[in-house]
Amino acid sequence: MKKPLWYEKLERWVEGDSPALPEPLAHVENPEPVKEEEAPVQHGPSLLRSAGGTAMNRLTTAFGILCCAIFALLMLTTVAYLPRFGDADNAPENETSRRYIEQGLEEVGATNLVTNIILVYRGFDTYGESCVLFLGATAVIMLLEADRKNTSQKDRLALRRSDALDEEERNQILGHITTVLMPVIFLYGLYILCNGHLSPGGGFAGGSILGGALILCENAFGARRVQSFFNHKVYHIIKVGALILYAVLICYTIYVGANGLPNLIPLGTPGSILSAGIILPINVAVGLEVACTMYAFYTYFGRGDL
Amino acid sequence: MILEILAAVLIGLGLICCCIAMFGVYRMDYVLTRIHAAAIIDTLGTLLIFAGMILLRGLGWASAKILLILAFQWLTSPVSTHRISKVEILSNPDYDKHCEVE
Repeated sequence: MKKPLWYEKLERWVEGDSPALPEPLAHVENPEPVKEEEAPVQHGPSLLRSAGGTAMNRLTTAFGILCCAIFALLMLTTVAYLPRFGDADNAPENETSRRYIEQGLEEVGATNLVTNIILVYRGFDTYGESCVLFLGATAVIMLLEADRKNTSQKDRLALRRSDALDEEERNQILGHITTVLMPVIFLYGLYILCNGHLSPGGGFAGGSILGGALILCENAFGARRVQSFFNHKVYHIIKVGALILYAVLICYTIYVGANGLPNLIPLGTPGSILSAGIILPINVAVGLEVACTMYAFYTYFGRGDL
Repeated sequence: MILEILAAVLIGLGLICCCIAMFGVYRMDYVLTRIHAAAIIDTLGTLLIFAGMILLRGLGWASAKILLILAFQWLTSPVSTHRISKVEILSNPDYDKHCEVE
């Protein structure tokens, strides 16, 4: 079966005008063997080297492997206890989901039922997620923070030089556009944050928009400008404060709900912005947490500092 | 009826622009030429498709939102294209071997 001429022409045009067809093939073939050769040479010894070394190192590695094995075993045993596929009393058929849909609005008060579930009915779960964000950011800071022990004078000089170059190359176009767009993006992020109980959105979505806006700000105006309002102190206050606020609210709700006490936080009228009790402050707390984490990841991976 | 045909023609033209840009991205082999092709989608493609959608919808809140999205696209995507090319030129010393740069 021979390809028609026009098809061959089109193919050649798509792959670039070069008349010699074997060239792209050779280009594709080349990286494969190189990768195969490099992979064992690079990975094998480096793993062995970290496993070898001192006895302490070997112990750490063994402990890590043991932890991983225990966790894998736990997960697999949990899988064995999962209900069978298509059983009559599986999650979609049982009474929990019906209660979420039928009484979620009057019990929790948010018109967005998904927010009801993730922030109140399953608020403890989401609290765990926020803790994961907190721990992730903390671990990144511990590993990547540039201090006296892991940066030489040379690294610091290189960073300063690149900062100076950035300052020189500070882009007029990006700066102007960011000046125009920054308030709009921040406003949009806050809107999504504060409307999480009324419409799709909420803490995680709004927080990532805010974090993206901060990153854009850093790119357009330089790290120093962002540091003027978002330094270590502000960062720690927001991060710890938001997590504590969330913890207090969720503990209060669980305590009140479990003991059948009257909930003192008013639910308000469903549909208005100040309604749904604890959902609005929790959304704001989660959003601030997410924004801080995103920006911290970005700057710590890039500069090793806020 | 006439409006719908006009809208269909506009959306079709927009889709053709997107196809051309997509072909361009695959055909070109260097960053600067590739982003040149890809920028067609963000500017002409979105303009034609959104114009067709506005014609279909008539004037109203929906078309106002579409115009806002268009404004956002036109503000942001040329800037990001510009930044990508700037980074390429700053980091690649022999960029002019791949294509002519004025």
